[in-house]
Amino acid sequence: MNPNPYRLIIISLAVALLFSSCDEIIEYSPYQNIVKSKWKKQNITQYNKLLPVAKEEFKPFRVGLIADSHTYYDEFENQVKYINSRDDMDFIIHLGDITLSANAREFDWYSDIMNKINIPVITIIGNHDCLGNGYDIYTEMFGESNFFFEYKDVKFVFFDDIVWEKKVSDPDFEWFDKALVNDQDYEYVIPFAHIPPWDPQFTIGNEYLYDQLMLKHDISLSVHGHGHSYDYWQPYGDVNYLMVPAPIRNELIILDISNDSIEVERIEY
Amino acid sequence: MRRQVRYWLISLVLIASQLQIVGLMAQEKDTTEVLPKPLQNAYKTRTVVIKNDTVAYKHRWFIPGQYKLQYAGSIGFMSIGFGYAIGKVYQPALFFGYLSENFGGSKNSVVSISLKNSFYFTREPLFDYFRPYGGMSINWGNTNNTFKRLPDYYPKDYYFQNKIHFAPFVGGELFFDINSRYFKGFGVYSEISAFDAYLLEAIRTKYVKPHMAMSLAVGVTFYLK
Repeated sequence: MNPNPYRLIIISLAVALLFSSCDEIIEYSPYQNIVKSKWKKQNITQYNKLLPVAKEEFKPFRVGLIADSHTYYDEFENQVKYINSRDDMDFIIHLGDITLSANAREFDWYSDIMNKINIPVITIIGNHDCLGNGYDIYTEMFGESNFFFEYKDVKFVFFDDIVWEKKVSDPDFEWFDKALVNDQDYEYVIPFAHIPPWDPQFTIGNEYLYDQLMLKHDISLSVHGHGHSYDYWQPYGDVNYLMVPAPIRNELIILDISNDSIEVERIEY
Repeated sequence: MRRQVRYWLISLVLIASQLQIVGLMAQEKDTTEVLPKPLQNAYKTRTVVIKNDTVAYKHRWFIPGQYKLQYAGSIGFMSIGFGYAIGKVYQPALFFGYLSENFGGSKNSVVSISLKNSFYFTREPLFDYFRPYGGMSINWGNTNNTFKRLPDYYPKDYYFQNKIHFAPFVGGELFFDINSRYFKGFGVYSEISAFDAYLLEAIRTKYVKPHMAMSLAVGVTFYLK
């Protein structure tokens, strides 16, 4: 029994081409930083979807908050389904930790599920997303890790406060201080950061500084992830700190931003 | 990227078919020819007398008998491997892989070292050509922010190490006799591996399907005489 070797070559070529036609199966390294063109700088493309409404004058609106989806893919998909079943939110903010180990495919899987949400999603960076080449993948996939934008006369400030994983000694408080300035008579300025200031990643000095910046800029609410469970408290006195739960809690947090206050709504689904 | 992959595969197969023609021609010649001088010297059997026992051993046993060139497979854009046939079944190979901006299109470069423990399922090739195999490779990846032991400032067990990963794999190799001066044959192989972290998610979650954990590699092996 001696089949024609050329037939074997042709069959193997055909099989190889079949596999090569689906991108996913070719991976050069789990640490690779290769972002598909459709998923580049997504925070910018997602914000652009909010235009031109974003430039309009203040009118009460609602923003959905999610966080720490890590590899809870099934729970995250449930959350996405629930979000899509509602139509009262203008957009969603994900408060970071979109991966567990910042492996290349974990970023792809997050983007795949996140893009099933019918309204725009803004994604901020979490500590887990900085492992391996994660920080560079994040900036390629979503854009700068420190950024802010305006939406209907409210300034949303997104602060990258990761310390250990980025091997820096302090978060960029100078940038944060400048970004928090209410320079255009905004109705509100709301900061969002993955790690809350009482976490061990913050030194006592940084923890104090964070709260002082809130007081200096007259900010009443600071929003965080990292803890995986809901919390709303005032650890240092005046400023409210909101912790957004992970998808495993089957909860959705909604910020109800109205003329006189920002209300936090906690919905179990 | 897809076009690049096709280009690689097609050129690989073209090279393979060219060599096959040479191989078929060589087969018709006298196959009793002796090893060339450099290999004779390298492999000369030597003896050593320990007390009253005479032990014969293969000189320079550490020279790898297999040389591999691999595309993709999660250990670099391209990797070169050195393999040993410890038995007909167990044939490990050590791979060195590289990935960078101009060598695979990754913004960060990654250096990988992989010990691929292959176990062949058959002692002789099936249908004279095909050799299925499987096993487990141990991949060591080096790039930014990978660690085996966490830096001191982390609380204990804050993260699991992310430098060493395991990847089970299965594959098959088409083996061709070429019987050239230095090489007895070559193989074209293709294998599918599953990186441990992805495999875990494929088992644990409904969202990650088994095929989403898989990574394809294709390569060639040259077998030294």
